[in-house]
Parts: sequence; C-alpha cells; structure tokens
Amino acid sequence: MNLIDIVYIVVYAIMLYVSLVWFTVYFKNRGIFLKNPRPKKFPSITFLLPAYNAEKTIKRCIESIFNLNYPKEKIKVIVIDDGSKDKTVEIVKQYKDIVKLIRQKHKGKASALNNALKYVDTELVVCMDVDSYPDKNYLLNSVGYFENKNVAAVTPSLKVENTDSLIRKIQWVEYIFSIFLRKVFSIAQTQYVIPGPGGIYRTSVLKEVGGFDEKNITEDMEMGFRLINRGYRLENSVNAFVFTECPKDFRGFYKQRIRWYVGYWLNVKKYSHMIFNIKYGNLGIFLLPVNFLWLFVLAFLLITQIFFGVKSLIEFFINWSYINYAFTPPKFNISLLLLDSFTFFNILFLGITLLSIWISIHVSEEKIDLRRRIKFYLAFIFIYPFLFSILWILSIIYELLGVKIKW
Amino acid sequence: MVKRKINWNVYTISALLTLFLLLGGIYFGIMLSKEKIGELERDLASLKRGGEDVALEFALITSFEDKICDILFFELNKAVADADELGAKVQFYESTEKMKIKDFYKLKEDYTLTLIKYWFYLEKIKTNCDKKEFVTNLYFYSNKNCPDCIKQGVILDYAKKLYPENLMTFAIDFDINLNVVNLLKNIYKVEKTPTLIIDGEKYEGLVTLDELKSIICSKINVCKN
Repeated sequence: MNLIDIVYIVVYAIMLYVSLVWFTVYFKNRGIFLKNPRPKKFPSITFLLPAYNAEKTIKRCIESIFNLNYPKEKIKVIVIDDGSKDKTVEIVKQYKDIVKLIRQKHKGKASALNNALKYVDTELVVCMDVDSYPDKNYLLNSVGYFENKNVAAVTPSLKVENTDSLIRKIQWVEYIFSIFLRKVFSIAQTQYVIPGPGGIYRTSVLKEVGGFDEKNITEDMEMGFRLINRGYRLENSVNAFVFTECPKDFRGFYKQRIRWYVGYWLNVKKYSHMIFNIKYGNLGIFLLPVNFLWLFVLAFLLITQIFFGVKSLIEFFINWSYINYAFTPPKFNISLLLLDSFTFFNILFLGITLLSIWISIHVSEEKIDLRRRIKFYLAFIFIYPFLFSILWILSIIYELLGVKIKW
Repeated sequence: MVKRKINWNVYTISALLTLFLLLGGIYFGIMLSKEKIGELERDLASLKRGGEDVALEFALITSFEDKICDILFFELNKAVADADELGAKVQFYESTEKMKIKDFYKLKEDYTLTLIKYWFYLEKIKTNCDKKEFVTNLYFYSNKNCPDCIKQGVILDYAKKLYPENLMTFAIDFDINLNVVNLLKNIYKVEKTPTLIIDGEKYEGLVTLDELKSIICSKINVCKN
C-alpha cells in the first residue's frame, strides 16, 4: 500500500460516511417523508412574478396560478415588469382585473421583488420565476407548515420539464435527485437554499429581515442563510412541485452554476460564524464543514482520474510505438486477478448511486421508465460527476482570485 | 431562536456502518489476494507436472530420433505457451497487487525454476535434434529502475505473436535470489537489465523490434516480413 492508496481509502471513507448519514436520515424518517401537515386554514397569499422579456412563458405561469387547488379569493398576483422590451406588458394587461402590474427600469430580480414587497398585504408571499409554473397541489401541500410560528419559509420540489438537450437530460435527473436531497436536508434542518422559483415566505418575516439582498448574486441562498441566522426554520414540501426551465446548452449551464457555486462561497464567507457552531445544529457541525471536505474529495478524484487516465493513454501510445504501431488484437482475460478492494468499493458506490436515484424517482412521483430515460441516467452517472467537480472546483478558484460574477 | 437539531445517533450509526463497510472492503481484498495466489498456484502446479513428465521422457530416451524429437518439441512448445500465460499473470499480479503476501515470492521462485527447466530441455533438443527452426531467449529483466525493461517486454510480447513457434522467451527476474539464476548470470556474465541471451549469445541493453527480427532471421530460416 502506498500513500495514494491510503488517500483513496480516506476519500472513500468520507464519501461513504456522508452518503450513509443522508440515507440514515431518510430511512429513519421514511414515514413522514411524503407527508405534509394538513392546513387548518387557507392563509392569504401573493405571488410575485418578476418578469423580464417573458412574453413566451408569462401566460402559462399566470394561468397555472389561478388554476391551483386553493380558494381563489385568497390568491393575489403581482407582476413586476423589469423593463421588458417585448410584449410582456401587453400580455399582463389582459389580466388587469386579477393581476397587479408594477413597472420598473431594468434592475434585476432581487430589486423587482423588494419593489413589490411594499404592496404585499397577505400572510404569505411566493417568489415565482415566470419561466416556471406550479403544479395544482403546490399550495395545498405547502401552507400547513406555516402553522408552526418558527417556520419562515417553505421550499418546493423543482422538476425540469423540457429535456430536449443532453445538458437538460442530465439536469432532469439532477433536479429529481435534489428533490430527495432537499427533503433530507430539511428534515435534518440543514436546508439553506430557498429556490428562486416557488419559495414561499411568511410576509412579516420577509419584511422584518429587510427583503432580498440586491447585491448578492444568489439572493435566494442568502435569504436562506439569513433566516437561519435569525433563528427561523425552513421547511420543504416534497410534493409541492414547480416545473421550471433549465439552461439548454453547456454555456448557459456553466454560467448558471458558476454563479450558484461562487454565490455559495460568498454566503459561506458572510455567515462563516455558523461553521462548527453547535448553535446552528447539523448545518453548523456537519453540512457546512462537509462541503469543504467535498472540495478536497472532488479535487482529489478529479485530479487523480485525469492524471491516471492521461498517463495510461500516453503509455499505451508509447508502448505501441515500440512495435512500430502494428495492430494487435486486444486480449481480454477474465480472471480473479482483475479484482481487488477497490472493485468492492466501486460496486458499493455504484449501488449507492443507483439506490439514491431510485429513491429520488420514487419520492418525486416519477417513473423509472428505463426505455425512455436510460440516456438520462447514463449521462447523469458518467458525465455529471465530472461537470459538477470541475465547476465546483472552478468556483472556489474564482472566489479565491476574486473574479467578479454577475447575475 | 429555535433550538436546532443535532442527530448524534445518526452520526454514530453512520460511522459504525462506514467502518463496517470499509473493513469489509479491505477484508474482501485480503481474501481475494489469497484466492489469486491460489489461482496462480493451480496454474503453476499443472505447469510443474508437465515439467516432470518431460523430465521423465528425457530420462527414458536413448537416442534423439526425428520422431521423438517431434514429440518432445510439440510438448515443450505447448508448455512454453502455458508458461508465458502464467508469466503474464505473475507479472500482472506483481505490478498491481497492493497487498502482496509472502506466498507470492515463493511462488515466483518456483515458477522461475520451472521456466529454467523448460529452457534447459529446449536447449537439449536444439543440440541433439535436427530441429533448428526455433531460437531460445533468456530474458533478464528487473522491476526496479529499468524503464527499458518495459519497452523490451512490449517488444518481446509482440515478437512472440509474430513467431509463435520460433521464439521461445524465458523471462527471468534479475533480482530473484536463486542459485540457478545466479549461476546463469555468471555463465553469461549478465550485469545489467535488460539483457537477452539468444541461442547462447548475449545482447545487452534494449533490443528494438527491428534488431530482434534481424537476429532471429540470421539464426533461423522462417522470416516473415
């Protein structure tokens, strides 16, 4: 055994431990995983829709809000036009009896939300992206959590609907997987992101903490951290589905993820007093420190995989040159010699991955549908880890170098 | 401020499970290592049995007639192919196995002894029979600091594919501590690796594919281009 093998064992131990912690949380809470508190009353609620050049999607968004299984008189909608240059405003005006329209110069989403917050007089408020839309039971499955006075926000489960490109197929699985993970995080009280589309807030709390941070590149995550910092609880409803759009090509995906991940580091810096702080429970003593460990794990795996991959490729070509590039059919011998401890661990991790996808699909009320989705799963298993590692590592490098990331 | 959960029991259960699975994986590796040695030992046993068979045959014969030479050569050729296959396995095990157990070194010595026996019988056939269409090749390599040995290995593997019945290579670990290996090193004055002894002639340092081809062609009459 040499040093690199020992580091491999340590890395596997970390990955195994973290996965097992989340699985244990899941298995201990299987009974309540899909259950939400039944609402005793229907609180009034305002949907805030910041819209910028949204003529293609805004109609779908408004209509699905008024089609929700929820008393219509309890729902208000405010569209904040963030200086659109297309027909967004004209479309919204068709709903002038039921939708309030506010217009502002193009200043960004956080500013639009804060601008509209002044007009909100309902108990709850939802921030919804106009390219997204809620499932019929979205509110029914969420509002019950607010009967607990400590709850400041409830997060939904996001699903990708459009899977017309490879990057979107990968994200489809990723979002499904996140549904499982977000609920586990929420049960362990380590959830720190309130997703942009569909996060529900208690209006009084949102106003009390001063609205969204307009300078933050991930204002939804910052709000999550801020609410936790103020001592509030975040909940998640696993079956409050919101359908959303995700980047179609690699460029868009890259831009979005760098913003998210750099945003994460900025927020961690801002709320660094939470790390290893027992007052913040599992978030402080486990999740935040573990995210640093992941950085090491991913960097190690990525660098060693690339290094050994390139090395064996180079060796192959060099060896080939000794025999003057003559063609020799490769020989595959099936033998015990090919197996070792690492075979065991690799099979274990494949099993863990498959099990978590399976559970995720199950809790997301989707079907495995191998015939149609085999490509999705394969891409997720074989491509996503590389993409994720590279972007996650790039984000800390950008953050350390102080590269400015814009919304 | 709400009191936030810390699930110490979850952390403990997961730690125990992790430890259990990690030890399980390592135990699996150790058991496998024994099984692998077992596989190599079974292959070696059948190789050695073949060697005893040939030894007895050599003891029985009184004269090297053509027909007997053919039989002996046929058997040895097959044995050398088996030895090559086992040799590749031994080499693979040696270079990949992270938890080598003591038994392996004994196995490697046994294997080397068997190899040298086969080499000896082939030399005998060469001097006593009319069979001249093969060359023997004692290949001294080292696993320590010998980058050229990797190249030589690749070249010899390929050469074996080119001349399956004409090139008989016996790869001997230069560093192995066996009397017979030390004796051979003395006889041929082998001081460094890689060194090839082709039909008793010494070639020090890397022999490229083209050089090897012309050596073989100069000694026997079966050259392919």
